Amino acid sequence: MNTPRNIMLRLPGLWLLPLLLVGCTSTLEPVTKIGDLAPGEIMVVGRIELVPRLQPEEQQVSFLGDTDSIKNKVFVGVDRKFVLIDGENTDITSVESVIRATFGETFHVKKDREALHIPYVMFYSKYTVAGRLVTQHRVFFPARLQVDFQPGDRAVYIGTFRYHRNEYFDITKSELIDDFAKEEAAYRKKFGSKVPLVKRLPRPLDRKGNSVKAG
Amino acid sequence: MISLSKALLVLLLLGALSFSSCTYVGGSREKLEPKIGRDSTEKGSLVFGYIDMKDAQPDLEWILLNRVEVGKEATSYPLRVKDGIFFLENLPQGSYFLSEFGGRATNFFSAGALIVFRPYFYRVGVDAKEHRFKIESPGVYYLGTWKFKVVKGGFFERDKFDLDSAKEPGQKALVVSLLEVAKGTPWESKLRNYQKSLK
Repeated sequence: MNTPRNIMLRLPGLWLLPLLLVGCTSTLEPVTKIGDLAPGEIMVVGRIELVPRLQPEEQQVSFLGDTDSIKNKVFVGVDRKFVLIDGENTDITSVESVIRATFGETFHVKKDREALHIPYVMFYSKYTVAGRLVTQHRVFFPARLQVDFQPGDRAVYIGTFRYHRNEYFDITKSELIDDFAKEEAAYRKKFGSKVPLVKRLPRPLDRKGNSVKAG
Repeated sequence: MISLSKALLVLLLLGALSFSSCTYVGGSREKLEPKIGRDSTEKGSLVFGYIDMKDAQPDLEWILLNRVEVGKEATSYPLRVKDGIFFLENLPQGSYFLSEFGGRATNFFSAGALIVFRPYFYRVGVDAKEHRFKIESPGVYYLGTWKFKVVKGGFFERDKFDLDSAKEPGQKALVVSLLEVAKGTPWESKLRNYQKSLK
């Protein structure tokens, strides 16, 4: 009944720290120009879509602070190693980093060249603070993916993750869409052609972290 | 012999104590009259069920359903409650889930008062699939008989709760009780028809 996704906390001053929403993990920095990329860093390009789209009325966000950090935002967990996040374990504080993306918009973030695991994709359908009472409800989407970088990669496209949902925010279907041609054109317009964008679609993993064989 | 002034002082102190002896803390929820309104129409649906709260701190005093629709804000519906039975008439079609239930427990010598009426809010939420339902056509809907159960937490963990499906009181007994609170309303005949349909 009190599932880990439906949490109420009584903590002093938590409204001051919206970053705690995704635990003590670091947020991958956005890239706005190629010069933002340091040697040894890779730009990760992708997009998360929700079908039907999330409407503002469906998300309850209320606290003293930057509510735009939650509204229409989706959080993509990123780690160098495999971490199992599922219905029984939703402790996302064990995941190293997070991409804070906007639903339906392409993100461009930078990370190191280590392996890229995606243990979870999640958003807050509710995050309210009244006094010292924090009420949150998180919706987790199917993920458990791994992206394999190749030597020489500087900018990689990992695909569009399209999640279909119902009125309860149950995910009824999830798709990995290859929009490379469109995204590559937009990338070149924004960042130029000095650093080419390459396609590295993720592969799904099982609960033990092994590749799921097709078919 | 107690002087008049001392007696007055004692009376004043007792008076002050009685004023401060009852305290309500922590808010509440809207509570509807525990019977179907005489001006209610037959439109929509009537839902009902039961929660056995013997193992909970408070008796059942309120229960909330949320109606959800893609692209829209959730609508909250407080239900009527009587002796553990919850019900509400004229609900529109749609997708619902049990959002929360609770009540007030009476605590003595707490929060600086002799008697404290403390609210308990038990949140269920959208993830509990067994407490979701859809109203696709107007009618009478039984939402189940449930027994509140405390799930002990760890040393540093708060206790949780669960709702176990229970057999008693079953639908038939609940409908008999509902007929009492539906007397003289358009729902009485609908409930009687529903009663006949129960085996």
